[in-house]
Amino acid sequence: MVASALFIMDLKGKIIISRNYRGDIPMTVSERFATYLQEKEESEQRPIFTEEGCTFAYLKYNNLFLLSVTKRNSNVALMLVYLSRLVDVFKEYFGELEEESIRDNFVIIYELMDETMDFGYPQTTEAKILREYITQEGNRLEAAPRPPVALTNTVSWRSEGIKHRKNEIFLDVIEKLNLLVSANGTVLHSEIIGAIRMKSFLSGMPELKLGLNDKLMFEASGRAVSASTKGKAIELEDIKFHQCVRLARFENDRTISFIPPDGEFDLMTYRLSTQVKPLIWVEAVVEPHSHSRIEYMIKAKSQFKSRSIANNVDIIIPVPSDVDTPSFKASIGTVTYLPDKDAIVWGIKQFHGQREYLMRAHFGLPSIAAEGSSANATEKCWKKPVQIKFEIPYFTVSGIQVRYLKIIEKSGFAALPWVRYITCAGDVYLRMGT
Amino acid sequence: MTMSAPLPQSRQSHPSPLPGQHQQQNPPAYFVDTKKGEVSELKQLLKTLAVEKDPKRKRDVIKKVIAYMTLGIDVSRLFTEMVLAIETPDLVVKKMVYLYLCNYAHAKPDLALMCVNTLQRDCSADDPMVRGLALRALCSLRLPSMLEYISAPLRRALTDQSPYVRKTGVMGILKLFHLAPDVARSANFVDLLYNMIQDPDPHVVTNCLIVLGEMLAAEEGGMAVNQPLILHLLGRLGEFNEWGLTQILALVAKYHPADEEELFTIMNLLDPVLRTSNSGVVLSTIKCFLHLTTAVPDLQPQVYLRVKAPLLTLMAGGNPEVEYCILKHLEAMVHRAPGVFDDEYRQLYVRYNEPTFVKYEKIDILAIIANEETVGDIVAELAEYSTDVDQEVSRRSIRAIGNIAFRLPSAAGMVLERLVGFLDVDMNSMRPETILVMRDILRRYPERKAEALPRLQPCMRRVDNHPEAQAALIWMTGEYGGKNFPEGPYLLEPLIDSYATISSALVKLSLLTAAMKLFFKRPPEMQSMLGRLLAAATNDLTSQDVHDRALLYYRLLVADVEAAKRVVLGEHEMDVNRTTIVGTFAEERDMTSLRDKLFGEFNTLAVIYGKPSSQFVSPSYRIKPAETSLTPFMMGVQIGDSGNNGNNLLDLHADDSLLPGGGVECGVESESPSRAGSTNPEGSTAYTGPSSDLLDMSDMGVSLAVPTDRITTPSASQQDFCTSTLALIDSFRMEPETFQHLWAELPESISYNVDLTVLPTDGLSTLETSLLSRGIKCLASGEVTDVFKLFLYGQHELGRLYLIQIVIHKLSKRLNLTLKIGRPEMESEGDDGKDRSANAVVELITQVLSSLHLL
Repeated sequence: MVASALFIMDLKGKIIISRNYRGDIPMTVSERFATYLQEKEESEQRPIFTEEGCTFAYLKYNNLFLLSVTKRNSNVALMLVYLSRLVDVFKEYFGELEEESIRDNFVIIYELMDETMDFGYPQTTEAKILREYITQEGNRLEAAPRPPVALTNTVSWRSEGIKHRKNEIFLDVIEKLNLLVSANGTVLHSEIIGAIRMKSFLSGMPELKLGLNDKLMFEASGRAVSASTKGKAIELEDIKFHQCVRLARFENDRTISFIPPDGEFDLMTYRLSTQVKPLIWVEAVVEPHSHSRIEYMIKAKSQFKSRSIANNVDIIIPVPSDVDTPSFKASIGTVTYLPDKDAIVWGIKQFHGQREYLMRAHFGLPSIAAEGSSANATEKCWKKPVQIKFEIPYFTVSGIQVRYLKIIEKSGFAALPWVRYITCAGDVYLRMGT
Repeated sequence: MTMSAPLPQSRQSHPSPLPGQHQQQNPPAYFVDTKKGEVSELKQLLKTLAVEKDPKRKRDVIKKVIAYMTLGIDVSRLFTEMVLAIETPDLVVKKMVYLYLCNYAHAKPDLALMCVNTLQRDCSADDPMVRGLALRALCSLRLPSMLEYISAPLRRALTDQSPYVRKTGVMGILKLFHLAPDVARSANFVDLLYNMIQDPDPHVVTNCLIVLGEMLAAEEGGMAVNQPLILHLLGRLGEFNEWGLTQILALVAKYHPADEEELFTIMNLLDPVLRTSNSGVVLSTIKCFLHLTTAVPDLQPQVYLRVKAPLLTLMAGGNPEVEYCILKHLEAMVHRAPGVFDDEYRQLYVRYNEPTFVKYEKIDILAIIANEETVGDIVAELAEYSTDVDQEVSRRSIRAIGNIAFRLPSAAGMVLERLVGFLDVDMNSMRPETILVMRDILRRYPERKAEALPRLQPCMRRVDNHPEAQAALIWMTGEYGGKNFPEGPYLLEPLIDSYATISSALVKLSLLTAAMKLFFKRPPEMQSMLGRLLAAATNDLTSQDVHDRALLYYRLLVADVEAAKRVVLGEHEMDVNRTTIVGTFAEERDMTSLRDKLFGEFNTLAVIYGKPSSQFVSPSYRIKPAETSLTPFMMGVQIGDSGNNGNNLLDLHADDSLLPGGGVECGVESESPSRAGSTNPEGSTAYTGPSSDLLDMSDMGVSLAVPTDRITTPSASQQDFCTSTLALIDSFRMEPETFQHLWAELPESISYNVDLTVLPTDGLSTLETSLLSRGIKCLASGEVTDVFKLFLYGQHELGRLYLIQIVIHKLSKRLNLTLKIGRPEMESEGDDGKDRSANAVVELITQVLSSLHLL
């Protein structure tokens, strides 16, 4: 990938900040991008397009476009990945990336653009390392920042000589459930996207070894999956690791060994596409009464163990756009009508396992609706699926478990690993029957 | 880095200071609206900077300049003052001034020279950070007048203590190269860079690969790739970050492994890379796998199986833009590897809140991976999307359902039923698209017309506003409205009678043709209708096409009705037995070769657009495709020398290796200057690691012997054996590259096997000497575990070239000879002439063999 130039723009395609890396295109190409945004319908827009020999590849993030322009035919995924890494770097620096944070930090943004990319080629996008020498803070300037050794040694993600008073490490096992259920209740598609997120506050150069209830690892180590290994072993379909994990070692005996970067990072992500039954099952019965009113009867049932609790459950039910005078009755939680989204949201703060709740909604419909349009609108709203959001702590759908985390460091400090599990809804949609 | 054209559109923006800037005590209003006067004010402020004591205020002033620049306001007027500000110990100010310089130097080339001294001095600063930044700024000014000042610091940087400076220096070479290609070439930088591939720092190595790749792209199609280089890089794979990995992978994709064993070694080394979370890296790895296995097609299905899971994970985890990119590649792969991805079809179900570009791709792929087992699920799912609010989603899913029917004849009935159901749905976009798709299905499965046609009838008046669909309906009526569809003519009649109200020429044309066709099938009903239509159409002044077509039909009918029938109905209508009209649609026929082409450009834009890059990349930015380099492994595959795993390791391009270090025994045709020898003393000494064993050719189990000294001293005693009529030129020499090239190009003329009585006792040197005395020269020879191998060549007096490969199996004592003959263009001898000369060569070699008592 060779980017000729990089732009960060607002949603209209107006430049907020830009960098011309190679000088082989005029910076006015940005106008072509703005025109593209204006002239193309949203459904015609593609994240990569070429016009008159210039290729535009862009990401949309919050209220911004990050755009790279190139004249060469190059590794196309890489362009987009670079942009998303850049977003990560900015987020690490400024907390969140939006127009304001750019305007407040334009000097450092220029520096980061120059440091992460030279002459159009990505260089270093490890925010933790960049933070050590790309800085504008006055008080740190007395000791002139130098490129850290980490840029040179083989552990490029960690500098030497890190010190923490209290050595701690936090592990969050986060599983996102994507689920699509058809109107008749069959699960059409379900997958679990998992991540083990670490927050490491360890001194020195610690060697870590993580043990999971990975079926293949048990097999590799010659141990039979027996009752002695607590819980059952699970089979992770496809695992991706942070670059700190020694891949060759993992290939050999499925050991996850690594020297962690300091601070927060995703150690690994995994995917499982096993059949998962909906943790919260929603049935919706809709009764339209000839142009005058429409009634909803919603039944929600939790299908997980009774000792677990789902927090912040939102059940989002689409309604026709022309309804009025809403009235609700729910056995638990609160119901709100969001006219701008054409939906009602049934929010339940705590939803215990093995329970069932009911909610009724009643709307008026304009009595003299244009024959076709109303029928159409009602039908369209039925086409929209019911969406469910939730979080269930201390629970993973896959059953993954952290069995141990060994920490070995020269200085021999004692460190405490903390482990948390949580399952949350990713895209959980239940199609409504007609 | 210029901002030659200030961006006027942002000038009037940001009327007020933005929130969030007030963290500082003295909030400088960077983004207030500005007039000319403010730039002048800034100029005044800058002038007083020299005496300003407070470093913070100093920074604020400079920062304001940069802020104006960011807004697109032309602050090039401040150049002189800014250049003066560069003299500061404050790194923050320095960095900002560097940035300013890079942006405006182009506008003020003369003034820019003022800062050269400072920049040069900074290039030797104590702080490696300053050295690196100054060097980067110096190289990024893009001023030809700077050339003379760049070279020296650049050269120094390459041997700097700090890898940060070295990597910046390496990139500087590329900047220099774009500024003045000749200067960069003549300065021997290419050799320096090849040496630096052994640098202990992976960033430096990465940049070396980048720079070499780009500098050599135009002439040599990128870096020379050979075994030691690849093994060296693969050995250090773990050290590189994701961006470095892609550079290495790009090189590996160009490499041809020497044998299957090496192929597997490389693939095993690359396998863990599939676990990285960078889609660019994973796609590059897949590209490597696909390219490496081109010689072993049997392996490719395994490759697809291996990459399936990682690809799907990336798809699920990434942002939609990256997902789009992966989907495009997935689409390319499902065409190549039918069946592999079939069982993962649920992964491709559309999510409600996805961007449309992702939805479209998923729908298209679903149509390709549907098989007999999954077709029910997939069609049902696509039918869900067909009623989507987004018209394009709806249109595409209907089209996809149709495509499934084309691919799976067994599903045609079910699909047709589905589509017929769609006709009743009252949504604007659905019906027209359904009709178009049904037309195509009937084109392929005309026997299904009875199921579809009656249902179409009520649609005619409902698609008035969609000419294309209406035309398709009319076409179907004309085409299939014969025996099984008695209503046919009466479907057309209302249209004919309201001819004046039809506005679309397309509809009129189809109406004409359909009426003609039906006339021949059911003349009594159609005669009057056709007459009325022709009358109306010949008087139609709105479209010349319609008018002409009507006139043509009319005259045809007047001239000869039978002839008209043949013309209008065509052949297939005459042949009653014929059931299928269309085998393959014309538009699909060229796809296969296109897909092959695209596969060569895997992981580039070509796959995204579905066109070869030559169609959208301007010529000056195209990368010359690397010449297919040739290894004995590849050759072995070409000549069908299978079952012989030992025919390996004769690295023909050993002298392309360009690898540093004295340890390289570069044995082939030593007269072509090996770049390994011409290292720059300054560059190679400081930071080249210890010469690694990996690069030592002697480790490869190959002994390359070249009898250069014997070429001019043929043994007199053996001259007597020259009984053959074949006269070869003694003075002829061939470069290894030419040999490789020709070997790849030429067809095999003869392959000859003979069993030896004894193996050559003293290795191959006697044999080579004897062959040499007969004018056959040895390009390379060697001994691997169980075979001897020789590559030989010679030229006939008439200009014909002979390229010979000899393989002697030690165990069986079988000698296998492969001969390729290249002829100069003017020679127009027939094939049997070639055969004769091929036999002469074989004869000559057998003579030599028997003279050495090997036969």
